[in-house]
Amino acid sequence: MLSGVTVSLILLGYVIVLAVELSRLYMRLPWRMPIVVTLASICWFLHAVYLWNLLGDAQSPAKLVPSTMYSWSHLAALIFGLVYIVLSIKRSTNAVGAFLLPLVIAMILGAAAVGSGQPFDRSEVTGSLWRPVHAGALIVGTVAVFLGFAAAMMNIAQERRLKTKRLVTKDWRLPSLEYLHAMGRSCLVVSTVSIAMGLVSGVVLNIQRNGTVNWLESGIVFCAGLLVWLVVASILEWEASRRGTSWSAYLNIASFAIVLIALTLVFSTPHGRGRMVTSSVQQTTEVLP
Amino acid sequence: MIMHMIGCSHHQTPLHLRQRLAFSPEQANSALGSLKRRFPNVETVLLSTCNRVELYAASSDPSGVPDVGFLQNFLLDFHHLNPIDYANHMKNCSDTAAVEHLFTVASSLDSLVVGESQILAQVKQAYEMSRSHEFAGPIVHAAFQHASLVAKRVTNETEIHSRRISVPSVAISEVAAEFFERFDDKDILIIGTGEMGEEALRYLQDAGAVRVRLINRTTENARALAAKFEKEYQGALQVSVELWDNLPIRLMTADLVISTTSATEPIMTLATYKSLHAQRKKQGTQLILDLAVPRDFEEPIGNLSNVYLYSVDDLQAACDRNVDFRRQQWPLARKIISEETSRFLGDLHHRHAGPTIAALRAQANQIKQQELDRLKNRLLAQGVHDESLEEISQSFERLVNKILHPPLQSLREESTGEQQATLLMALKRLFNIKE
Repeated sequence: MLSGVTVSLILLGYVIVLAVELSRLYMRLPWRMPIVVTLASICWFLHAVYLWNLLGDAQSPAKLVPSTMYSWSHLAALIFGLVYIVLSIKRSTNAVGAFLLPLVIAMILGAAAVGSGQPFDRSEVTGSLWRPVHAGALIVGTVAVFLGFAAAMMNIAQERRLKTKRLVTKDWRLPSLEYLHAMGRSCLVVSTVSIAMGLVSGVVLNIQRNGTVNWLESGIVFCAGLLVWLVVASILEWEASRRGTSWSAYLNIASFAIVLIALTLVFSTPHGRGRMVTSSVQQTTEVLP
Repeated sequence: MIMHMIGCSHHQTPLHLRQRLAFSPEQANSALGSLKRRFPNVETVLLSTCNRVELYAASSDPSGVPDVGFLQNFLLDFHHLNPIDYANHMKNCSDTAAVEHLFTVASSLDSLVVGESQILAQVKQAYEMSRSHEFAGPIVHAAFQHASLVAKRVTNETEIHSRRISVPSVAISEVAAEFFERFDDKDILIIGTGEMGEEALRYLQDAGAVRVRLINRTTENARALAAKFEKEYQGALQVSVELWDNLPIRLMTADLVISTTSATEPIMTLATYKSLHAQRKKQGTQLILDLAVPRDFEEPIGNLSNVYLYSVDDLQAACDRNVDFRRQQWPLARKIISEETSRFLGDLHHRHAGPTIAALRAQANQIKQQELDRLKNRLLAQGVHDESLEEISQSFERLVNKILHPPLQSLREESTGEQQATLLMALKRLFNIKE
C-alpha cells in the first residue's frame, strides 16, 4: 500500500505543519486550525502507512506486532503524532503544536538513529503476550514522558511570560497554567504506571524465556532506575499539589532527561537491539528506508 | 419612501447636552404620540441611550413626513431647550444615509466602544416600543428588522466583537484565563464595590464563577451590590460580603484577587503582604488584578514567587491592542453595511413600486385585450384562420411588453427614494394610473 511513502516525505510533511504552527508568531490565518489538522492528519496517515508497510503483509494478526526497535520507535512517534492532532483540535486556539511537533520530528529522527538493530525473533514476538505488553507499556511510558516534557516547556514559557506581563496575541496563546499543571501531573502518573508495567512484564518475559532474571542486565537496571525516579517524582508532585502548587514542569524535564539517557544506554546494549532472527524471510520483512 | 434621522451622539455632542435631550420611555411615548397626531402618515422610532438620542421618521408618502428642521425643533421643544445651544451639535441625514446610519448604529460601529453588544438590544427595544404603540409602520418595520440582520452579519463575518476592550473584561477574559482553566472552583476576592468592581463581577459570572467574596470599607455598599447580583442572576452567582477587617485572612486563601478601591494610598504594602504570603497554607498561584488608580497593591508584591500582580497599566496595552484589532475590522464591517443598505433600499423600492407596476400592466393588458377582441370579431367574419389570430394575439402581447419595458426598467433601476418617487408620480400622471 502506497509503497512510495518514505521517512523523508513524512518528515517534510511534519516540518510544513510546524512552519504553519510557527506562523502564529507573525501572521493571522483565519483557517489555520483546519489547515493544521488536515495537514497533520495527512502526515499521520502517511506515517501509519509507512509503519504498515514496515510490518510487511499482515496476513495474520500476529504480524501486526512490530519486531524491531526501529518499528517500535516509529509506533511511539505515531502515537505522539496522534496525541498532537487530538490536542490541536481540543485546544485549537493554543499554540501547542510549536512544542509538540519538534518532539514528533525528533522521535522520527530518533527512530532512524536506532534503525540498525536486528529484528527480534518473530517466534518470540508472537509466542508470548508479554513482549508486546512489555514494549507497549514502555512506549506509552515514553510517549507520556515526552508529552510531559512538552507540557513542562509550555509551562515554563507561560510562567515566565506571565511573570514579566508580556501579553501575547490571541494566535500565540498557550494553555492556562492550571491546564499545564494538570497535564504535567497526568503525564507523570501515566508514565510511572506504564514504566512499572513495562518493568514487570519484562521480568516475566525473562523468566519465561530463560527461567531466571538477570537483575544486573543494563536494560533492567535502567528501566528500574527510571521507575524509581518516576515514583519519587510522582510523590513529590502529589505533595506539591496538596499545597496547591505544582512542580510537575521541573519533574517532567528531569524525567525526560533520564528517559533520554536510559534510551541511549538501552539502545547501545544487546537488550534494545533484539536477537538475531533465524529465518532469512523474516529478515526481509522489515527493512530500513 | 422618505426617511429622516435627526439627533445627537457622543461624536458631536457633549455629555451635558445629551443628558438634557435624553428621553425616558414615557417621554418618548408621549413625544411620538404627539408627532403621530400632527402627521398621521409618519412612522417613528426614538432611540435614547447614554451616548445618543436619535429620532427616525419615515413615510411612503413624501408629503407625510415633516422636514428635518421641524423634527429638530420638535425634539428640542419637547424638553424646552434652546436651539442655539444645540446649533452645532445635532446631526441629520435622510434616505440612503439615514438607513446606512441606522445599520451602522445597530452594528455598534458608531458606538463609543466600537463592537459593544448593548446597542443592538437598545435599538430593538426602541423599535419594540414604537411597534407596541403603533408608531411604526411598514418602512420602519422593514428598516429595523433589517438592522438586526445587518448587526448579526457584522458579528458573524467580522471579529469586531470578538475581543474585549474594557480593563475589567480584558483582565478576566484574557489575563485570568491564562492562569485558570475554570473559575467555578476558585476562591475569588473582589476588593471595592465601585463601577470597576461591579463590571468585574459581571465578567466573572460570564467566565463561570459561582462564588465571589466581596469586601469593601463600607460594608453596606458591598451588601447592596451583593443583593443586586443575587437578584439579577437569581442565585447563579453567590456573592458573600466580608468585613474589611477580614481582608488579610481572605487574601491568604484567595486564588484570584481583583482590587478596585478608590483609596489614595496602597491598601497592601509589600511588608504586610509578605507576612501574609508566608502564612499561606495554599502555596499555589495567586493572581492579583489591581484595577485601581492609584494602585492598591505595591508593585514589588508581584516579584514574590507564585504571585502575579497586574496593574491597569499592564492591562491597558492589551486593551489598546484589541482596540487596534477592532479598527482593522472596520473596513470589512463598513462593506457589509454598504451592501446591506443597497439591498434593503432595492427591496424596499421594488416593493413600493410594485403596485404601480402591476396597475400599469393591468391597464395596458386591458387596452390590448379590448383592441384584440374587436379585431378578432372582424377577422373571424372574414374567415381568417385560428393560427393567424393566435399570431396576431402574440404580436399584440410583444408590442405591449416592448412599450412598457423601458419605463419599468428605469423605475426598477432607480436606486434613490426621492428619484423613484418622482418617477412613480410621473408614471401615474402620464398613464392616469389609479392603484
